[in-house]
Amino acid sequence: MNAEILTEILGDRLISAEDQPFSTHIVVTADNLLSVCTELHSNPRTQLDYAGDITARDTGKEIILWYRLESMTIGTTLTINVTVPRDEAVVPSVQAIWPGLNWFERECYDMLGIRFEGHPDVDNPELMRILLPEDWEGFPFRKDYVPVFSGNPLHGPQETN
Amino acid sequence: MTSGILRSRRPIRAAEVGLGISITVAIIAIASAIPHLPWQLLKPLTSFVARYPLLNALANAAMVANFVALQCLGFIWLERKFAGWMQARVGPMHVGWKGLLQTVADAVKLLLKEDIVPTDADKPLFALAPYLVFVPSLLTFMVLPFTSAWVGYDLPLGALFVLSISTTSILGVFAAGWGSNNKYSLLGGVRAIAQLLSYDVPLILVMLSVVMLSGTMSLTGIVTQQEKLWNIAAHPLLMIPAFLIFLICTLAEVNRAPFDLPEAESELVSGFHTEYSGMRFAFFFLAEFANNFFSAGLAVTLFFGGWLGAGLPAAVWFTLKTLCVIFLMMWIRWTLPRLRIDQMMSFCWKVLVPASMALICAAAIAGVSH
Amino acid sequence: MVNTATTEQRHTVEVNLGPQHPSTHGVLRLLVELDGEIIVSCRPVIGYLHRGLEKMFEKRSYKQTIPFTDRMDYCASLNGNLAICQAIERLGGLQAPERAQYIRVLLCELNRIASHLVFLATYATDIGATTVFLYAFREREKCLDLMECMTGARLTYNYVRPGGIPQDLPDGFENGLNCFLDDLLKALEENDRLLTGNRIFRGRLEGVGVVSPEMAAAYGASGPVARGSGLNYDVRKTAPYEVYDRLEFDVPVYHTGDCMARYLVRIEEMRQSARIIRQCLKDMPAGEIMCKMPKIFKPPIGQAFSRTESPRGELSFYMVSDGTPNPARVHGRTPSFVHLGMLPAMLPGVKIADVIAILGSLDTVLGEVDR
Repeated sequence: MNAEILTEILGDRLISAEDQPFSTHIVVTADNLLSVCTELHSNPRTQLDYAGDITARDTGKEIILWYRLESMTIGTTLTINVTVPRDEAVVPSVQAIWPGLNWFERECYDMLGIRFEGHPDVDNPELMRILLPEDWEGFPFRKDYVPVFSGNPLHGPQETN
Repeated sequence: MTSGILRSRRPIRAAEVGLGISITVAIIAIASAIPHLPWQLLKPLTSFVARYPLLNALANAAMVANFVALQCLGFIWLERKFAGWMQARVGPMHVGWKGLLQTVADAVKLLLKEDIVPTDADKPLFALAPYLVFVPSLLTFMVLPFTSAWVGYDLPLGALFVLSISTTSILGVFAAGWGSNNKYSLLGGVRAIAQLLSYDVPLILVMLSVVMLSGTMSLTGIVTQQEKLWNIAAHPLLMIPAFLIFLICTLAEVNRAPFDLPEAESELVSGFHTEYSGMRFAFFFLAEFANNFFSAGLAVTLFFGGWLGAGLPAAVWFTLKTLCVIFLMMWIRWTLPRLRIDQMMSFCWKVLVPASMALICAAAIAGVSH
Repeated sequence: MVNTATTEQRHTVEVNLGPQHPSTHGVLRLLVELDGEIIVSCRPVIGYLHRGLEKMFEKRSYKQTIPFTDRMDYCASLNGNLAICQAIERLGGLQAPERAQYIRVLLCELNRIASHLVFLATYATDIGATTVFLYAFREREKCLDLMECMTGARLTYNYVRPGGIPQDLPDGFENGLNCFLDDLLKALEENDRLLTGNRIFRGRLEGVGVVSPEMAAAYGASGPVARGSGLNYDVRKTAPYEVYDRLEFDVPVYHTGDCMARYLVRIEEMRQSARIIRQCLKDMPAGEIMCKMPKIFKPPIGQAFSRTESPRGELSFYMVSDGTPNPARVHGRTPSFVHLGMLPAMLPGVKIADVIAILGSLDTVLGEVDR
């Protein structure tokens, strides 16, 4: 799998594709993500059957998601970047394709407040929270997040140094 | 730097073996001397007690209760040391010489601990359970013959008494499991009932085969039957499998590994006695060790000729044999992993019960042909 | 007395396994729905050990992130050090000298042995064989002694640096290491006789918690969990880092996918690690152990990720640089986190005793799950 094959398969759904030392890197839009993932998962030339990793970061202007997927049969790595606006951070969930990414999606919601459309717990913030307490307020990895000590060490943000 | 890294297994020194042997010999010597002490000085007292049956029974009961409590002290120390030896460590070392008083210290600690009763527990049941467990194990000691004379009460139906009484401790276990209002306790209690009831069946059948061969239900009677030859040697084809089944069943009856499912620490925290603390917990503990000693003693009575033996006093022989069986049980406990509940049940009903049925048939044939 | 709920005419009991439970190896809470002894459903609740390490990374310079990785997988912290250092090196275009790479591999494998010994000890205890615990920890003790004389710490090593390692091997290390490996192989044989062949032990593990290769891939399982289910996936072979491509070793793969397979993979991995260590000692070249590093390390803007094979599976770090001395974002993809996510799919239908067997066979470290 390399950038050429991906361009051939995905066509205009790709924003950019390049071969990097340890992976092939592509950039897609949030709207296309699910169709791209479904395609790459089932296409015999890519066969991305292994759930790798999802993470995201807030640059202050937008939120950039980073997906890493592997193919066990072909032995290649694909990384995907998806950029979404900060005030409407919504991407389709891919946990139906790779159930292992379920918890990574939950973690991304937990830390950055990204809504994963199609995730089984998407409408239930308490079940969606994974590392932080269920009643935590705010998303700590957002750049505008200000930790406020709530007074109760069990609920909400705590005093930080 | 290498000195610390290269320190390999420490070989057991000859001095340690010598010390162990000399201590054993000393203990046996002291025990042998006990019957030769001037007991006749107590004659006025004993004859006074003997005149009143009620008083006599009370004195017997007091002796048995004290013995059960005291043997636990030694037994627990022994178990800890044995475990330490098997696990390449030293065991308790700080309280008393070689940690001999560690159990005493633990007992004192348990006595001083707060007695916690969970808020929503079924209080009467919760309070009653430790005694329901402890009393049956105490009662069984009444018929255990240490020698022909040292028997609390020589019942003619001793074997039946033992079986019926020891089974009632299940009630206590279930009371503890239910009364604690704890899901782990409940699961442990349910497991305990399934296990104890199932393993009672082959145990009864095996004991019955011994009874059939001996022609008596009195435990002293069974021992005197073996005067010429111990049961295990007299009918080896019958009694060796019988002993193995008996051993497995008693391991299950006293909840020891590999049958410690009711209190499986890694699954159920502590099983049916999770919520118990202080003295109530000590009662469960005491009952467990008393049961253990009793099962070993019963095995000796049934298969290894009880107190019979040459040279040493009868009580010493009995204790030595019992200790051997106890060591066997400890060996098993500290070596084997735990069974799963379905494996344990299927082992009982698919292997042990048919085997003991076959044994009882064989015993009947052997008994007739005698 | 117990909260019972009728679901589909079935009376089930909800039991909290944890957060304080002897067998969850940390503060993991499993919300388990029980029908008698059978599990109906399970929901792992994690986060009790969450320290916000990823957030803390953003406030530290690149070098200062290393000690935090010690606190993730505390059973094999050197592998964590290596993983983040690799991410930093890839971001900054650094390359550690050859000798440093050999020493890194050597220490990682030593750490893998220590970690697998902890697994052996705790797993045997979970199954009820308490004695194995002490035997395994006796060997681990020697291993930790070696690590201590190398790195100065017994558990949280903080040893690997971006661009190399801070210190060379001390005197007498090779000798001690060889003695330890001899002892270890003997102890493993002893363990095979005591535990692996035990019928009760096999009966408890065989056919329990089966993971198919497809499921392992779809759930992102890695390390012994993947290799126990027939997925021949070892980062040391598929994407070799450091000098693993120059070393000869086998990747044990078992196809049954049950707890026994995962156990056997780990036991065999210890032997392979011993083999790798011996090769490292033999092949190690003399020379530098640290490459040239600027005083204030500012990698160019970009993103990089590292993939390493930690004892638990694939440990990778994703790192983003915005050109400042502090990383803009660090994310650790920790294998325990992924493996715990498999539990809701693995547990329904098994007995409560199997929960412990399955959970133990995943060999999770909660410090790594919660980060």
